[in-house]
Amino acid sequence: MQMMMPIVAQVAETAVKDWTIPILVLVPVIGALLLPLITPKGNPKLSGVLAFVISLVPLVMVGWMVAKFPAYRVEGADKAGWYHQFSYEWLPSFGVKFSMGMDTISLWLVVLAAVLTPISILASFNYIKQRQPEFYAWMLVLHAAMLGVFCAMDVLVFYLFFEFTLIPMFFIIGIWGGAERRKAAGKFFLFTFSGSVLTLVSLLYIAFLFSNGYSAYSAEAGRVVEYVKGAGYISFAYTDLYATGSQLPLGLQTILFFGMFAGFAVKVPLFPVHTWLPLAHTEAPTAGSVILAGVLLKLGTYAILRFLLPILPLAAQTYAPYVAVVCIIGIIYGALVSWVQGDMKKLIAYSSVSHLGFCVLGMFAMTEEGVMGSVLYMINHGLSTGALFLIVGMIYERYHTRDMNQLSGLVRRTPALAFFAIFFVMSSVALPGLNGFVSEFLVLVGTFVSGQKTGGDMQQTWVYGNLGPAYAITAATGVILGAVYLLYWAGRVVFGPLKEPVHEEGSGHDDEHAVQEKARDLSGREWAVLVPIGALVVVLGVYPMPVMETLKAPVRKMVETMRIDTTHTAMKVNAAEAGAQETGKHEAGN
Amino acid sequence: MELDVKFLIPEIIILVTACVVTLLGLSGKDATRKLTQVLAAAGLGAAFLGSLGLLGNGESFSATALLPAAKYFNPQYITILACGIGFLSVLSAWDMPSKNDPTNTDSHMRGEFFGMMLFSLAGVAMIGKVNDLVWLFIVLELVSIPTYILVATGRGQAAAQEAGVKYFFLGALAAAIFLFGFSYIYGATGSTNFVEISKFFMTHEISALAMIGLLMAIVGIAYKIAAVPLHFYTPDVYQGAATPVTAFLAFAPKAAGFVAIVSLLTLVDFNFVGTNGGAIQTLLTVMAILTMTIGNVLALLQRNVKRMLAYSSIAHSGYMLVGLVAGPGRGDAGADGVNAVLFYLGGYAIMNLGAFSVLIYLQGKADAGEDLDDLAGVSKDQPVAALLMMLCLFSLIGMPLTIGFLGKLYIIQAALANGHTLLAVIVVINAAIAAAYYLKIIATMYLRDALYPFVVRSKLPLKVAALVCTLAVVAFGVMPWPLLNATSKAGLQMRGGEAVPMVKTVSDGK
Repeated sequence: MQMMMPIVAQVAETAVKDWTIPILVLVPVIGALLLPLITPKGNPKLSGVLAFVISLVPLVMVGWMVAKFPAYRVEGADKAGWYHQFSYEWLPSFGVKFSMGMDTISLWLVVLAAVLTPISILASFNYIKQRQPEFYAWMLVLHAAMLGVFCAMDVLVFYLFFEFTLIPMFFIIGIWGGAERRKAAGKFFLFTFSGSVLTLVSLLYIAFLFSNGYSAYSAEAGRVVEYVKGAGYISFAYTDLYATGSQLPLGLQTILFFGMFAGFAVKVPLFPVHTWLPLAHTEAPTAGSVILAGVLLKLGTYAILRFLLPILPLAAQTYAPYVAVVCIIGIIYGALVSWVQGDMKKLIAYSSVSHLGFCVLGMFAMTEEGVMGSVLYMINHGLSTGALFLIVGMIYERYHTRDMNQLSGLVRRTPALAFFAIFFVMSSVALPGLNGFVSEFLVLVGTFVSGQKTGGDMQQTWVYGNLGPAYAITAATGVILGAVYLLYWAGRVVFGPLKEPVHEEGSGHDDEHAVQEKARDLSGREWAVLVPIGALVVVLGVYPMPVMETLKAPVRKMVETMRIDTTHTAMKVNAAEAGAQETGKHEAGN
Repeated sequence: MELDVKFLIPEIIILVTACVVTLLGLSGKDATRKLTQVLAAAGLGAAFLGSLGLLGNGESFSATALLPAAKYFNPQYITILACGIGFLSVLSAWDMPSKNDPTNTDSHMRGEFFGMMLFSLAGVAMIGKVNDLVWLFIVLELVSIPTYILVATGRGQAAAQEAGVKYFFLGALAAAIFLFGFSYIYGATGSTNFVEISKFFMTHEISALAMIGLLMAIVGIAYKIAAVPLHFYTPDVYQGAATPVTAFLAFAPKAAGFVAIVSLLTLVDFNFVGTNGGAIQTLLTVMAILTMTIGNVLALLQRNVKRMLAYSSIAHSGYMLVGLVAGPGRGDAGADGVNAVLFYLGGYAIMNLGAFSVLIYLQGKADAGEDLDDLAGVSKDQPVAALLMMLCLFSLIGMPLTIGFLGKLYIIQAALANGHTLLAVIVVINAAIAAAYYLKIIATMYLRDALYPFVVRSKLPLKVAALVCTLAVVAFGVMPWPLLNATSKAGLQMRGGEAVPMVKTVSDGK
């Protein structure tokens, strides 16, 4: 204990002054602003190289942060705590602090964003042919916004970055997309924006309750109960909202839950509100699809994990079975729709709907395994699906089609590309030994044991989650279906007799010649794009323990806040009031 | 107690300049007439600096005794806004209307144009400092009558004259309604003086007579802010008027109208409870919901950009009405609906003028830049113009890091903090609807190819206006402190200080 003290003190002391994260976010922003200026007028292609170099800076910084991250490098550091904290009184009259920091969950998602952005920039060199500096500038802006989202510690700062991702993505889909790009871009923007404004108003309301307190008549106690003691000032800090939201009675939590869920469910996207996703994916350029599937969809799942569950645990527990049903519908529906797609990009887009159903299911299992699985799922899905979109993009660059009926037998023409296609399909269908298996298995185990693991102490008894084996078994059919449609796709396109599309008239090339010329195997640049993801897929599949080890503490902390109180009613009300008083004392102390 | 005349220096400068400009505009020489715009800009610039200088004297502005409204907001803020936005409006209207203007069939620069603008701005500048019903009427008409002339003579098209006539007759009708309301207030309280009236309401319940007067006054003034149900003129007038005049209309009458309503509400101390008090709140709530929703839904259906912005201007009035419903609250910073309205007013004026300035810039040909198709592909041909327009439109949507986001945030927080959760939800749903049509403009500019080459009106002052507005949109979006402080400085200090006894509930007086 004596050895630990000074280190913890040191962390606390430097907490508010750490500029690492602001610099991390600012580097791509400054790069984006400079890019159109420093690109030579005669050679717009160079802007891609410059953007790639700029996007390596955050990657190097993140690599350094991973190597040095205090939670698992410094002995005695709080493994579930927030590090690299930066705080600035931005809008004191609104109660907004510009506070940023990361725990290990944020850290790994930041790694995901930092890895996928340079890769998708590298993959765009041939694909993007017009307005290049503009494209790469938007990519860098998007990069900054993604890094910011995962590092925010204040709800409004989170919302700011969350909304800001819409602008660059809108232009990336809308300018450089396919034939229906304008419709796709508009739908993407409006769906997400409409959902997130409801989220905003719910969050503002909780912040208001933090300031003013909440008392209401409780039928259980038979009198007016003070659920939250007002702090007297507005705050949007995560911890303050956790303390407020979790004390509220179920009725109010329900309203706030659905308000917040609206925005996040659209972003994920969950079953009935997923319709923007296939369109956006099909129309987006490769880099856009990679980032969209790889990182942007995770903003929704991350937000559910970060806000929805800890702020409103009571409502989350109550509605977990319903959410789980929606997830399972999404898993099976997404898989079935994928199966019948002729367009390869649409197939992978619907597979995302299916896969993210697993991810959200794991969270709502509210068990350690489930949540851990979900966090890993975010990373793994980002890698596998991102890679599959890259592969489809490479096929498209060669044949100018994504139609499965026009292509087959790629292994005969481009063996290396075919190898990677099969490899990432295996990763995506959760083949043991590759990354997808670990997370999918954990999610299913977590769902299976949900509602069965109990705990208790002198005052309370509790249970973790209220799903159960039935949910896990139904969801598992999605695993089988997933294997079916992905392998079906891989089988048709990669194997079988060689079949290449005939180019349309007027393409400017002799047909035979054009196909011969384009259907080269992977270029050096394309190897450089696929190999890093492939390596991560293998590492996370074979030896995920180091990552899981770092995630254990924050996941456990989160699960403890979501356990379901099964204590006798009267005791529960007393405990709630004690909690409110404690919160009040805590604020007074601050 | 006498009001120190130095606090009226900006208004005096504007009025004197207005007279000089109008007289010079009568000159036979075109060169002299052209001088009017330089003079107008210089006058407004001087008034702006003067009003900024006076802002620091907020504490010495011993006005609460004279001005019940000063308890809730800083009247000097309105003056600064009128001078600043007025200055930028003059820049954006540079050389309008003149023979260089393709939209004008008249071959001469019209001298009285800027004179009328200045008279109207003088009215806006002093609207917050009015303390008598008669004065309120005169100042409101000082704001409005020049705008009728601006609309009718701004461009030599039949549509402009039609718009002018429509605007004038309906405006006169609205003026009759609120004047009639004023007469009831006088009848019920026995005075036209704000101090007397607010003293009367402190010791008396709001009688039915007084309530009818207040409601009629609010409804009449709703014409100025283009609130439902007095919004019908807006699309036609905005579309018919010359674009710089449209930009001006979206600011001057709206600012004057909102401050006038706030002044009237301060007479009853924002006391919406009591036997009859609820009626005001009901009226404002219904108006707010209808105004936002009708404005946004109808804007969705438009293809003409000016008409779309006209409906959006109605919708923004609806958001601001939500702030009025919320009221000043307990005076917490961040939960004060009145200051939220004034902050939003400033933000809206800046972002809207920025968007309109770009539209004016793109209108090198008659009626160009009005239809959505006219804006197709702007980003390739005019990347800077497109960028400025895009930032202003994102601000109008309410995207983070712009002033429009903070404005909405302020209004929503005020609504939540004062118990109007449903209104807050309606505001955000409307924000989502609004995003659809603003995004349509952005998509047209960036995602489509130009249908024909652009002819731009490449005037330096116009470019400056667009640039300054857009920079302000972003700068205040990141660092809103100057604007936030300016709205509330005097108000908060007064409420914290000696003026507290004025805040009383009706029942106390009985």
